[in-house]
Amino acid sequence: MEEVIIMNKDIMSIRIIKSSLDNIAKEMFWVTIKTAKSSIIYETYDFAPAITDAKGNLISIGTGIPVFLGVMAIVAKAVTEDIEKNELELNPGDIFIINDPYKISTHLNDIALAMPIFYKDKVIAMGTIRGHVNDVGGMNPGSWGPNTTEIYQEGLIIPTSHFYKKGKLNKEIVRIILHNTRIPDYVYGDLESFAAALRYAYNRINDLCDKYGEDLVRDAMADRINDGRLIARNRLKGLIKGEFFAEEKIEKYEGMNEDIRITAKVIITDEKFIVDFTDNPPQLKAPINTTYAGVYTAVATAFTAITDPHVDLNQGYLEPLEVICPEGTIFNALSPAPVSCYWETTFYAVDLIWKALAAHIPEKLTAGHFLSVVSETISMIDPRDGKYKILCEPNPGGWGAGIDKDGESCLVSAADGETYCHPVEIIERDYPIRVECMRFNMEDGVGAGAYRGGFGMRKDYRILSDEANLVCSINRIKYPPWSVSGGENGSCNHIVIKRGDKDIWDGGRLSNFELQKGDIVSIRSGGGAGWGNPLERNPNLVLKDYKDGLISIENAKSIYGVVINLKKLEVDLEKTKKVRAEIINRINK
Amino acid sequence: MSWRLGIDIGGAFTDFYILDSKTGKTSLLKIESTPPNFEDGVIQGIEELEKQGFCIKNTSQIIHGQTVVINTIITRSGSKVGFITTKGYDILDIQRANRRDIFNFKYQKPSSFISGYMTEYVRGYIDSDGSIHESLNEEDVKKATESLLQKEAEAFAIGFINSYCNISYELKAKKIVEKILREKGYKNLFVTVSSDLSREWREYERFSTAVLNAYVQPLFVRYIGKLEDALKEKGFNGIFWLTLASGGMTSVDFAKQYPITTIEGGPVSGIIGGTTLGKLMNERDIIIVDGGSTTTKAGLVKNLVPQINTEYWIEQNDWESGYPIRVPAININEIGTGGTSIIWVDEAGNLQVGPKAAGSRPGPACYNMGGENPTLTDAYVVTGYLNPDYLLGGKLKIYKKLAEMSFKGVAKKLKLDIIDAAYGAIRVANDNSSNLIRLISIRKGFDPREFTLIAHGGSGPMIAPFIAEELSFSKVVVPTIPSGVFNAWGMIGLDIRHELVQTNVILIEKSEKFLKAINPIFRKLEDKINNVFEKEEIGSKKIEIQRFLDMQYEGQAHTLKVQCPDGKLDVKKIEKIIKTFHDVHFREYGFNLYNSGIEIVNFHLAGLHKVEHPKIKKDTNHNLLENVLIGERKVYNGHKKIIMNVYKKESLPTNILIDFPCIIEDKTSTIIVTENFKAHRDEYGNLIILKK
Repeated sequence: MEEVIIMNKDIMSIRIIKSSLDNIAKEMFWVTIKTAKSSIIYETYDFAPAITDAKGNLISIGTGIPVFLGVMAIVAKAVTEDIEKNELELNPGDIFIINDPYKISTHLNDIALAMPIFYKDKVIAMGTIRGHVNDVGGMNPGSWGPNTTEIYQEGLIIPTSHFYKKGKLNKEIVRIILHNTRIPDYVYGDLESFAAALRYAYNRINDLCDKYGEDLVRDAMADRINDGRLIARNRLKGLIKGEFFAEEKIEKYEGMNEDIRITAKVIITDEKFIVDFTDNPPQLKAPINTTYAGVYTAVATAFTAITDPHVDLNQGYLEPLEVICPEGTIFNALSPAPVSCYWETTFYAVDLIWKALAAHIPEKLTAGHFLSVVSETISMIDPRDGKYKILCEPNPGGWGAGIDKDGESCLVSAADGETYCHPVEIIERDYPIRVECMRFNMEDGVGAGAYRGGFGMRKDYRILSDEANLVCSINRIKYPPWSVSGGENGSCNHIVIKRGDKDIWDGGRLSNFELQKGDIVSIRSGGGAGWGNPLERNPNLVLKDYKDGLISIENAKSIYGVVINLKKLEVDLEKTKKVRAEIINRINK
Repeated sequence: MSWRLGIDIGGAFTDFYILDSKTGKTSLLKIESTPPNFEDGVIQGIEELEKQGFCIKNTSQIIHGQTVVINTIITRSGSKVGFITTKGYDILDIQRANRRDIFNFKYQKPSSFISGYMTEYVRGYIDSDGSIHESLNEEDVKKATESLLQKEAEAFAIGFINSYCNISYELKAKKIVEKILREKGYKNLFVTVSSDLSREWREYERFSTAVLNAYVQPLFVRYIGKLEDALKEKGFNGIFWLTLASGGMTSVDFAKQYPITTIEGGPVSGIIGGTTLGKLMNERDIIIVDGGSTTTKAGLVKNLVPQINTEYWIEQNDWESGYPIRVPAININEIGTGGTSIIWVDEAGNLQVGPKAAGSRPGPACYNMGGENPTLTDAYVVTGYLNPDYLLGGKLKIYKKLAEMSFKGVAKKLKLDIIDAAYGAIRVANDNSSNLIRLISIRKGFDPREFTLIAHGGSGPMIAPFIAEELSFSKVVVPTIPSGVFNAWGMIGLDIRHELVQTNVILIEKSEKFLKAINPIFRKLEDKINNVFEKEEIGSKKIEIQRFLDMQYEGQAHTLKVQCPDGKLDVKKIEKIIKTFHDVHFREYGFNLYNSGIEIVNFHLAGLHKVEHPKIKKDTNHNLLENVLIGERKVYNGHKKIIMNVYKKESLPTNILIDFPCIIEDKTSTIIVTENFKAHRDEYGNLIILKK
């Protein structure tokens, strides 16, 4: 992208317009929340609006979860290209719709709308928005599941088309879409809420042009990108340079012979942040492939986290990014690879970059966390009112330790963000479930270290329904969160089904498992990994963990070499020194 | 006994406002606060007021707003709390598990006010329908209490799962704890029970409220005790009230038991002040903006009813979750832009205002008290809007040269003249404030153009016309009550208020069965509220009850507050409630689900004992405008320097229109009437600014 040099203009007006452009994206976010019909939009924030310039360069974005950052930088450009290539008509009042994952998206549920914003008779900007609608057809209710082998099983694919034409609803396309979903009312309501946000942006930007003149608005957009570019350069300057490598394994899916090895090479130079995903397996016949948009968003998310999580995000800030990823692989899948559960793999891509850099950028990164969204779906008939109900939720888990802090306990994964987990009292009132515990997962433990990982969660659901069914698809069930600098790895995620006194199942992936009344579904997310040698942990922190009930007296001694005087509730420093020396001797032998 | 005194203690200043309800005579005072012994400042102030003819012995009521509760939390200087909860649940640590700072991979959750060490678990479980699943193990409670006392707990909080629908186990546990405390000879029994403060579902929010109440209680009780003693010593024998977050006031005894309900009682009084003024002026839809020294606050009042809910979070910002406090509170939003906000240039070369501020020490550069950074006040001095010689009615000398010098660095970085840089800062600050107003209006589904803007605070009147221009307000009111004591004035108009919110999820039906189910719920809540008032010696006849329902479409996860008609509910009234709900839902979310069932989630009752609201004395004068002109000033409007007339607010003639740009000064603030507005002083002394 060429740099626009802004000379001698009204810089204070440009300054004000720039902050307005940032705010418009945030206001679009509110407009959507206020008008959407599905809780996945107005509660879980699984959507993002954005403003781009006329060429599709990202100017500002509003979002509640990280996953859309990179994607929004792609949508407008892809739509513009499609309009030109397919000679679609373009007029004021047009709104385009698209969900083709190989072009702009992640999975078919994520539908994007784009509205070219005209001022007088010229396009001055684009408003775009993308969100998760709950069903676009396909073989699974909700359009995602662990059992698809090609995209055609995952729902309706929409190429760039008119949703609105000159301000009028394009009824033909809308009818096709609504005939291909299980919940037409909700899908249409959500799409209209997206359109409302776009019209809001259209009017706000026209107001800005009226007030300041279109030239200044255009300059302000260019200047926002310049600002982003400048700040990105400054942040890159402060970043460590070199090549960094990481690999991980994803547990195999049904029908595979071995676990899936994935790798990433991160190259940081003075001008570039390059991630090379060349050495990775070909796309799978399982729904965890991710498209280019997904892997690009992974790199953008990791870059932002590493450089400046609070920065104003725009195309300029993302300019140093370069993603090398051969087509037809798990990270850059082509049609007809299934992609409906892309998010786990997208966040494995984030995790690889994170793992490669954690030891080098300890001020921004921790050791490995539980990573998976750990979501389960329980569908059941509620005997209290005879109604069919579905509980589908993300669960929190343990985060890794940092160089200067213990890991966070029971926090949603990096794939989630401002995502609120369900309270016990709401679950019990709304579903035929008694929550028998919701506490730290002490049994599976955390990764020890000079700083230890955070605790995962254990939540036991007693099923009070005669007809209930469980689906889950989680990862890190065999390969735990990775440690740094001599810490210990964390623990794995798993779900246990108990019937009577027996554990009848223990694993991570299930489709359509029939539960019986009285069964316990026990969700156990993993603990985070440790950082640094456990024998170097400040004994007082071990004492505090003991007092807080987070470690036994035995483990304090065997893992950390810390001896606690139970009478005084103090660390016995002398004995601790001795025990630690003994352990070191034993290791050296 | 005709005097009423409002005392608003803030971290920096203590404000007094007195009203003689017989004569309408008023008096006011602002002095520096005296932390940590705030009562010293109160006594000082009273002595000073007595010199002006005020008599504490003849004072029937003192209404007090304080910042002790909020400061105790923010500075983490509260008590050691022991927490007793249901076995198997780590609710205070798990919280809601959200990650507000979404790109931060080293995010830290808010750390709990209670460590695992100070938490004790007890057996016993109540199901979500209120029935008993496992009976409370009283032995566990005893052991928990003994253990926590051994660990030197100074206050107790009790929170059990599902206590919102059956409070009995929490109350039982409380009795056991209190018995042990009494046996051991404790004088103060600081025991907070979650269902006593909130009867709403969502255990984390309720437990957090209980814990914070316990955390501040011992300190608060000591503070109020000292203040009561000091006032008694001065001869005060009227009633002492405390302001509530809900915009009401309550007795000292209630506040001592539930101190967390008084959080933000000061700022909230400003919203009530605005409402009282709105009533007097017959303005029913108002937005109140309070421009302070380091921040600007704003609240919205629709149809003379402030927006109250139980969704207050303390220490929450863009990147941090903070802690929920489920007590009824008026919504106030705040941004870090105020009169002493520091102006700076960020790394990309953009001019920024705040959130760092110079405060009262060292203050803006133009105060000559050692401040070197340019502030918003300096920007107004440099551009000529503010008096270049003195402020605060002559008390504060201004050094314009210093203000100009302070802008050198910023101007150089921006490659602008000093005066353009200063004007730019004013624009950026007003843009920030306009966004604050968008947040409380447009975001909630209200159109600011339908509201009147009431501006107070040191910088509120100064910025109001700029905000009005940006957001197309057609009317701005600058109250006749001096800006600095507007909150204290608002306190005089507070009603005595108690609220109960109880979760009880019921699907609405137009049937007798349904009516039989819900009428008793309201009746019981009403009895409860009457009991609380009885303790304050207010009979039920003197209480006005307002009823609300938090409702949602079946299956939704968010509720909307709907006003509920008085009296026994019948099918007709239910129909009206349903219609109102559809309307409110449409305003907030833009659509309706007519075919969906509608659920009541919370029953919300507010009991009000109305006090006589302060009136404003008519204060007309018939000076000629040209006779009260005190000067003219060269002001930079971003393009050129123009001459603006300067008037003193108090001597402006009544109802004479000024339809040219001008500056109007009073003792505590400066009002700017910009080109697109006209102004007049009404018969009460309020300045009314209207769009041309």
